[in-house]
Amino acid sequence: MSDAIRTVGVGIIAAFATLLLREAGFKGAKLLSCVALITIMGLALGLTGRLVSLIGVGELSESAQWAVRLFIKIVGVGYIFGIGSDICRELGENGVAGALLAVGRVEILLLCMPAFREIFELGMSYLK
Amino acid sequence: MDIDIVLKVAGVGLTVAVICQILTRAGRDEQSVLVSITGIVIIFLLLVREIGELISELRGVFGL
Repeated sequence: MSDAIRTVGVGIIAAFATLLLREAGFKGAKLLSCVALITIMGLALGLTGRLVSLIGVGELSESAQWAVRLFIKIVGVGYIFGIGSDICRELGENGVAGALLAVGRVEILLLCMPAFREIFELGMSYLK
Repeated sequence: MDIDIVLKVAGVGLTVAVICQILTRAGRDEQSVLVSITGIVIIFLLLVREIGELISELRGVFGL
């Protein structure tokens, strides 16, 4: 609960400070928004880490472990590209943000390729 | 993640804004621009360090 309050507090303080800096005429006010974004993501990462540890990968069978680890990696890659894209969008570079998202999608597709191959081979084995 | 970074950046920004205002009113526009750029560079260096720490944490949590 204290984490939730801290996260909300950071967001509100950062929004207020950004408004103040913009009114004071500081041209780098958007950088404060980026710093707040990263701080809040860092606080959220603590919660995500607890969620990942709750999944209990070590107690599953080998194939299930492989699938769950792949899923966790995909979520992580999505997280990284999402944060990068948000920072770029915050700084006004929508083109770069879009390009980052596109690369992120390709990266996730690449990570999924072994799973697709497994499913395809399984399907082919049933057909034979 | 340290929330003091938000207050540090806000402090740097406010200081730079005040100094820029003073310099502009004193007629020293070039120096005002230099101070503004310096402030942005300082904040950017803080931002890059935070991004690096976040990426390290992400790699640790998701096993990348």
